[in-house]
Amino acid sequence: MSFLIAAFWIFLSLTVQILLCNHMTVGGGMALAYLYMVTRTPVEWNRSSQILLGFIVGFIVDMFSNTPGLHALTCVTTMWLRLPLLHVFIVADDIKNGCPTYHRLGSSVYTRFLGFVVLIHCVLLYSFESFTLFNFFNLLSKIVMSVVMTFLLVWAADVANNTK
Amino acid sequence: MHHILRFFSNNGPFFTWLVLAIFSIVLLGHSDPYHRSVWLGGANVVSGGVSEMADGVFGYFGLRTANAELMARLATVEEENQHLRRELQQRADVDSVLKNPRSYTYTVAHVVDNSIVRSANYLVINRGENDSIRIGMGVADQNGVVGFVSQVSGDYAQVISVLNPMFQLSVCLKSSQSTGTLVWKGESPLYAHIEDLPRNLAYEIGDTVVTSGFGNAFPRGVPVGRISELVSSDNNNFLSFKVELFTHFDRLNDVYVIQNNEPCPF
Repeated sequence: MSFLIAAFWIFLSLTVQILLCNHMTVGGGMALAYLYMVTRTPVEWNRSSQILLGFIVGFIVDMFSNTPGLHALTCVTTMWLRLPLLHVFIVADDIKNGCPTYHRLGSSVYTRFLGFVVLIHCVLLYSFESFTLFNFFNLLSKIVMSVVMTFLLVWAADVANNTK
Repeated sequence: MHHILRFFSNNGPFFTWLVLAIFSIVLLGHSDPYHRSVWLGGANVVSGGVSEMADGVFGYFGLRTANAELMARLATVEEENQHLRRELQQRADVDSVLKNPRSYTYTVAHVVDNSIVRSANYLVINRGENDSIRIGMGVADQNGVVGFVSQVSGDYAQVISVLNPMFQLSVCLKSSQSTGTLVWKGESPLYAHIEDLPRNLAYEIGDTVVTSGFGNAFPRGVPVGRISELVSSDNNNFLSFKVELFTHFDRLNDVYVIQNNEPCPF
């Protein structure tokens, strides 16, 4: 994936997040469209650059969501954990370059990989946001709804986007 | 030295994560709205401008309901105005009284960005320093209290919503005049809590809660909500109630920023 194509997908996922997803909530949770770019970043890119990209994406979401540092911290951590998590489901030699997509990994591996990335991201995001388990069921509802909506959105976008 | 450099280069991703995570935590730690810089929030030119642009597309949804609410509020205010004029006419010259300086000035603003599902919610309005908006001013809509102005840039202002744990407001009950504190505990955006109500007074489910007028942000009597249920309290001397809010935070369109013209007594 060239830099320009990556920039286009970053712009598109951030636009969808800021203009649509930030305003549509179900059961207290919202879809996190920007995770599409976080999961899709090419594996051959320098790992520090991937983490920096995660920070930039999170920081921009923060600026438009009045949550300074929250999405940046979560994206940086998700991006850091992404490759080790991918290698749990697929041997490192099988994916040395390219994007970890549905068409590349296959339905089963991609679904498990995406599910874990989304789950980790949402648990971190809402735990950092609340800093407390005072409203535990409220927190749980937000996490569950966000995981479901984000998973469906990113999965559908990746299945529809047939580029490896 | 060579070993140290090799250690850092071998663990580059970890140190990149560590530095960026610490930087993010520092930003996250400065979440007190009075100390947060404008450029990080939603009130800056870029994010405010983009939110306003998006609102230009999506802002028309729900206007029918907002219009009906405004007409209902207008009817109530008109009724009240006629009644007060008649009462005033019996006591003084109405025109001269109306020429007196107003205690409060209301500036109409449009909500360009709003959140209701976060643990600490804010909204952004399209009025700022250039429109004489200042930090600490109260914000209300046709239904009731919305929040306080927390940050101001040239053309935009950020408002701490009632749906924010940092928001606290002195309120009273319309029937008994006993005062308490309105707080939000992160549950539903439809409900808040009124705390510190003296236990020795009688309260009824359905009692109306209004602003007490203490503090400078809101005049006395701005609607807030109605008592919906008693909540158990740790303190034996005070009661706590759940309050159903009058303001529909999910469809905020236009709001008033309230400027108190009377000098602060302190």
